[in-house]
Amino acid sequence: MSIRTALIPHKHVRFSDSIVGLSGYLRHLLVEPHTLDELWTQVDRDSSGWQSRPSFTHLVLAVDVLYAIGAVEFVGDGRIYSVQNT
Amino acid sequence: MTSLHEDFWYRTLFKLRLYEASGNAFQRLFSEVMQQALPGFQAVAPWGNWGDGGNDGWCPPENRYFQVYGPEATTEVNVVQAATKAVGDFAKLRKKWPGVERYHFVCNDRYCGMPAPIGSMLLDLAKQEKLLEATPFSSADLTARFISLKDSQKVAIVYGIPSELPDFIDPHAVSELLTGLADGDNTHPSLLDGVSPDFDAKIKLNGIKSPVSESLSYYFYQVADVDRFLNARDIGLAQKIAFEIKALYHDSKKVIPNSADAPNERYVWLIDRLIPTSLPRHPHSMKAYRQAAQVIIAKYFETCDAYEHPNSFNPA
Repeated sequence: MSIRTALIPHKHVRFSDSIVGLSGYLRHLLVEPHTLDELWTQVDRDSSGWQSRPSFTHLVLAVDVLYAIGAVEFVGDGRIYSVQNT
Repeated sequence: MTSLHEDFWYRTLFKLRLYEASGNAFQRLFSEVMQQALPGFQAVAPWGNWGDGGNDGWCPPENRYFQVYGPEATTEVNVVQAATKAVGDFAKLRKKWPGVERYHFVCNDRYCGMPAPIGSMLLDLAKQEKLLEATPFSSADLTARFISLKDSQKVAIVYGIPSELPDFIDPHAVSELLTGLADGDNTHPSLLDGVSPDFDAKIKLNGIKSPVSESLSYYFYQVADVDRFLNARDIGLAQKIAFEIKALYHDSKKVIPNSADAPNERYVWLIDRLIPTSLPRHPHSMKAYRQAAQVIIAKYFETCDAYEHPNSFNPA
């Protein structure tokens, strides 16, 4: 996967397809603690409310971005939670 | 009979090969053409201390000898040095090949014209050595020999050329091309602004002429093949290829000097560079790959990754 070019929106990468874009959406979902599987269940459906249907790899990368910038943290039991809500 | 379309492809592909050929590569290209164009032509390989005796290729039935000189593209052809080398090499040639009656100094001048002193010195040489013929042989002369070949012989030198009106684009070739591009080195991304300008206006502003202008418009209708492929792959791939194409176009400006024909020549150069070098250079497969590559160029031409964005032109 071309992570560098998929990270931010470009001429050929829509905002909703970019990893940063998806990260923003996940952060909105993480108002309560979720496991990765729970997040995937919410995102991997047509009625998710997000404009694109990301792959699982894309989802994991978006979570990685949130963790790297300190926007989420582990709260135990395999769950992550948005820092602004702690 | 060769159509105008085929003539454009053969001429441009051969011209690009000449632009890039220097030293041994030019000598090999010269031999490839002459072996087909001049009956009885033989290439000469240096042998031990004997070397080649100043003979880079000859035609024994005519006692015709060629001295080949392929300077690097980045170095200016020094008139005095080139002429002196031509005459100096003749003495070496006659010593080892006494039967010489016709002599040609072949130089890859990259269509700039042979320096006048070379012709003059060779005329003097012909008188002095009582030769039947002694003339310079330029890139244009070699091109004329190449164009006079049969289509099957031209194909053997520049490989297959795209059909005028292909019925379909082989998606396998497209995927192979994109894989080759995607596996290459990446450049740093930068946010690009601007809206895609009108397709025809961009063709005009970039100075692209027939038949390339028609090809771009024609292949643009098949861009959906590329989009379908890209949509099925990971998200950053389209952007990554855009960077590759942009870098390739930038390189094309270094290889092909500005001229009225440069936009068309760069188009053909880009197509050839899109095809991964690891692929077998078979005429039939090259024909399919070149057609597929034209669809990719059409896509990225429309989005201004290849060629200049109209906003980049200075109105002054």
